[in-house]
Amino acid sequence: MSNRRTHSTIEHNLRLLSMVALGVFAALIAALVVVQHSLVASHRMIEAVVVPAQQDLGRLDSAVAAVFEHEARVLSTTSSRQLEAIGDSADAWLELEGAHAQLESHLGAGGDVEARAALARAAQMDPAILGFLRADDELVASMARFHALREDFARRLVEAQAGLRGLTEQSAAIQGVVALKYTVLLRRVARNPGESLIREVVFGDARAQLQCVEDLANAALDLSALSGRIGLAADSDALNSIAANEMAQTRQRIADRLEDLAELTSRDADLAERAGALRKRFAELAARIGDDQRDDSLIAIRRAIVVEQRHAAEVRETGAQRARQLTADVAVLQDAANALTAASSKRARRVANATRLGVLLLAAAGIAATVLGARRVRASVRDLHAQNSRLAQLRDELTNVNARLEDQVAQRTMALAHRERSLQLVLDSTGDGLLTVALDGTVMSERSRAASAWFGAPAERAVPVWELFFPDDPKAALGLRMSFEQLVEEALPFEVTAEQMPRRLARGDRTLELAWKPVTEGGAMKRVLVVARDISERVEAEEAEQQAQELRDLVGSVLRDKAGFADGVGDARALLEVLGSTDDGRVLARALHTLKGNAGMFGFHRLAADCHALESALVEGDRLPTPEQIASLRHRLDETLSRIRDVFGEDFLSLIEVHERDWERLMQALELRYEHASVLAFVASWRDESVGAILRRFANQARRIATSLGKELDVVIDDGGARVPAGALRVFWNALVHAVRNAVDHGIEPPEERVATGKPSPGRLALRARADGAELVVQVDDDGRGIDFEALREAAMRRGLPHSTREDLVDAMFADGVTTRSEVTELSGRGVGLAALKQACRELGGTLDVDSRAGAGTRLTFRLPLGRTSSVTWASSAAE
Amino acid sequence: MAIGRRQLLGGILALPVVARARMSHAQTDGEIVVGMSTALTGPSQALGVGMKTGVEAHFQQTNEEGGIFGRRLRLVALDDQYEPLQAGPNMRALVDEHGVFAVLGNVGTPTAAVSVAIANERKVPFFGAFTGAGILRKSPPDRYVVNYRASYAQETAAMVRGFTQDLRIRPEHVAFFTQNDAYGDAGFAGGVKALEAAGFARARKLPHGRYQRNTVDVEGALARLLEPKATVKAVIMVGAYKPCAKFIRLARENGLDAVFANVSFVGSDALAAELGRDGDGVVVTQVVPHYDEALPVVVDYRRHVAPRDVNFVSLEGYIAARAFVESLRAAGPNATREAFIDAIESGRPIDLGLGHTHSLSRDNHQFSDAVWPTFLKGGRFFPLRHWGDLRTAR
Repeated sequence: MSNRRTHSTIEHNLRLLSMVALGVFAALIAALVVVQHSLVASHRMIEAVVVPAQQDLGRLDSAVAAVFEHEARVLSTTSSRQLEAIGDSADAWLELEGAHAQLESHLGAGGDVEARAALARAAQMDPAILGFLRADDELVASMARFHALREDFARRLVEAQAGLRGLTEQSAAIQGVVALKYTVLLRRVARNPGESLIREVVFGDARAQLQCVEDLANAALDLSALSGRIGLAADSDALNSIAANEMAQTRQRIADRLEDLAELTSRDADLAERAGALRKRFAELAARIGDDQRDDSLIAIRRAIVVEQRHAAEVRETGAQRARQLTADVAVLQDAANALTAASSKRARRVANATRLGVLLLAAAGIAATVLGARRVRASVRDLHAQNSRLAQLRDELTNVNARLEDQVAQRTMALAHRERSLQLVLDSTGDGLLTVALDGTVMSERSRAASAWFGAPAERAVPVWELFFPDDPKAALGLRMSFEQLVEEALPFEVTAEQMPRRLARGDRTLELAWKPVTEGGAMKRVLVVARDISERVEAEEAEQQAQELRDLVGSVLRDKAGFADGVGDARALLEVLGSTDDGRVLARALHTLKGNAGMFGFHRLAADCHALESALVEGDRLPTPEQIASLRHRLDETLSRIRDVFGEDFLSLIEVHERDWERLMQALELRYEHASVLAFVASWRDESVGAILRRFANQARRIATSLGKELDVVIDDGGARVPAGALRVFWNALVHAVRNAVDHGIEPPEERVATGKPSPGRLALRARADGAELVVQVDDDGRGIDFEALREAAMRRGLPHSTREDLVDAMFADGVTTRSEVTELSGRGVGLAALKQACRELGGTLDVDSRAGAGTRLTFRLPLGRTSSVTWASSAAE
Repeated sequence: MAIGRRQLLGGILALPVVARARMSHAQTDGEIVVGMSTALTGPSQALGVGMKTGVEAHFQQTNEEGGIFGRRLRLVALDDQYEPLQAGPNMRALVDEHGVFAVLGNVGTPTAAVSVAIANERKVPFFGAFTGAGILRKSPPDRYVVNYRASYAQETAAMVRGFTQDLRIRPEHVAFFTQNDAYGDAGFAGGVKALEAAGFARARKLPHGRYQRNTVDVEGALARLLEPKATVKAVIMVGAYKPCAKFIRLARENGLDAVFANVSFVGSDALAAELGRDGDGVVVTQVVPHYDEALPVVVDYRRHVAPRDVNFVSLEGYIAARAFVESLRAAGPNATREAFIDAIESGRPIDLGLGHTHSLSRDNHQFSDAVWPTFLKGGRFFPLRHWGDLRTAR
């Protein structure tokens, strides 16, 4: 019951709160609208009235300045042409009036009191503008008149000066005439000084005339000077003074003198005529210069100029006054515009301030109301909480009892899940494939991600590990099953039995390395962990390295002894033919063994390894090589040869190399026309094999074998310079490798054993050859342990061969399948090699001899008949 | 108002461009334009026309012979009426409008006073002017001024030598009659210098009458020479033919019995015509040989000038033109004005056909120093080999 009452109180209070908030919100919006309206009004005022008006005022001001500048330029002109070039200031006029009109219209747009006042003020500018422009107009007109007058004056002054110059010349001419008359008179007096003559000289016309003319000439100069002064006169006063004083006096003096001259020359017609002309000219010039009454006299024009100049100055002054007035008006209006701005923004600020206060008050009231309301709501809510918690307590007590059991179960489940999750995490974090195998062999479901990738996801049915690893090979699966059972039996230590487990596993194109580890709990093995690691790349790298090594060795073989190499290849092919054409186990074994030795000698390591594998299968498992396997051997040989051809070129085996020295010998023999047969034999010998090269090949092989067996070996070669026809002894050479191998493998002891028996630690192997008549004698001589005839005898006995005499034993030694070795290696020990050697000897019609002492070494001596002995002696004698 | 600002500005900008364009045009299209400002009308027209005739005759001859390295010569002659104030505008027109390569054969000293300044300013050669005044013979010479003829000083010096050495007239009995301007002053100064060189220190104080240019008002001047205390036996006359003729006639009327010697500029033929019978015994010194002489250039001259135009003035024009042409050839093809002057100053011998070659230098811009005196008899001029011959001339 109390709960419901509390609820209604809360509702009431909330309603009250939201109404207060609504009221505050509405009031805020109203304030915002008021502020915005006020700001917009202020902005509009400034934008529409104040800013344009200020621009107008700026225009007005610069227009006034332009007109004023125009006036200054007009005033500074010195000729009509310059004045015309300047032109009138119509543009500035238009700008001025336009700006004023705009100003009035802009101010008219602002409706308030300040704007109206400014408008009235702007209207008052009209007369000032008009006056200013009129003054400018008048100034241009005045200056135009001024220039016209000045130019007129200048022209007239030039004319007057020219007239004056003529006047001076005329005066001078008259003066000359008079002077001549007077001089002639004087000469007459000088020659004949009579009284009447003297009287004439002193009182006569001539002398007076001379005086008079000189005066006139001076007066002409005075006139000239006066015209200059008129031109320079700065004001009317100066002009008045010149006109009243100097000009008047000079004109008077000229008039007097001209009158005198007229009198004096009245008796001389020629002179009188000249004097008359002079008089006329003087009068005219004087008037043109100095007659104030004439409008076109210099002095009158100058007077007009001075007046015009003063007028222009006055006009300019008027214009300047107007301009000042205008500038002042503009300044006042600028102030007014600024005041408008100030007033407008002040209003806006006032409104904003008032609104801000209102908003503050409203906000405070709102907050107060909210706080009050919130307090009351909180009190009600607290009541509610208290009631609720009491109810909950009761319910908890009820459920607590049966919950406890479930809780424990849940905790357990969680812990378990947690553990499994973390295990999986560990498995996945390694790149390895991890599998756990139960003791019964079934593979458990947890496995790493890599294991899932290689072996698939856990199957519904538990699969034993042997089926998982060898699904298609029951035999291998069975082997693994037995090994695994032995492993979990724990009869032997785990590490020992783990060694028997498969270490590598092919899976598709990948090679996996397997490691087997026990998983123990409390000291007892519970599971087996199989760790599979992907080693495909490592295997590939190893193979590539083997191939590279093989190629290096092959190239070395070719470089050392190409002919031998070529024979070796030919033999290999022949042996492959044999392999493909028989299924006699013994023949096959011998051929395989020879091919293996041959291949190893020339560096066909992989071929050798293949042969070894087949040989092992044949000897140990009685399994004949299949035709496919034989074909793969052939293929291996071809593939290897093609790699050599990549190095040396296609036909590298069929090249015949000729030593420079031999070629020179041949040339010499041909030049000296040697017997045809001997030359033929010599050239044929080029294809002969050097026995030394062959022996060196065996020596190298012997060293390699020694190194691979951890033995030390010194090889001595003595070839006796013998050469044999190429290929003649190939069968023998191919088989001789077994003798060498036997010597190193069985004859030479390991170093420690040699040192113990008092021998030097490196073993010694001598390979010798010499031509003995039509026979080639070859010896293989080692200082090893010698033939163990006891062991040989037992071996012969095992094979049911005769074994009573030493010869029997030697024969047995060369029989197929007799070996004294308990283990078979790739090198020797199968008892096949020596039999092959014996066979070869026999084929060639040669003999074989064995000389061996226990502990001191073995010597095999072969004697082989040659079809043709190589004779090269003639060539060296020919060279001498 | 009448001219828009833009138009005015355009006009100012366009002017120099137009002038330059025309100039280059005149000197690159296979012809060499040569200018002349001279008296083609007015009292001294005989001189201007004579010079023009001589120059044109030689130009035509040169063009007929293939021009200067293939370029034809063309003369532009403007009339200045022997007025300095007209010579200035003429010179500017020749240089700026006609783009002349050089100015050749101008007449007059007062005009030269204006023209030389312009030539120097514009770096235009001023060649072979018909005046012997010192303003064209500064030391060192103006780079662009090159003269053909002997100076007035050399002419008056020749007179002084004739008076004092051949005629045995004492220096104090020499008087001057000169035109009242730079021409007269030049002759006067030359005579004074020659007399002073001859050991007579008071030469400047000798009787000296002057008359106004372009007038015949010679009475005042004559009055000076007739001063009772003066004794005048020889008069050095530096003037134009009209006043000189009037002066001679008037002097003789008034009993002045003296040797009247005129410098070449007087205009010999006009003087002879003016004096008629009264001219016998009047001396005129010449700066060219007599036109009847057998010198190569004179022979050439007679072949290329019509007989009615044969006189001392046209001969001078012809020889001056030859000096100009030979100098141009010396400067090589397409020579600039500077190269032209450099060639002249190089001292390379140039043959004018006067019997010997002339080598000019940086210090000497005058081809000929020779003065050939002549005298009038029966209206004709004859070479005056010895001044004593004058005694028989009247």
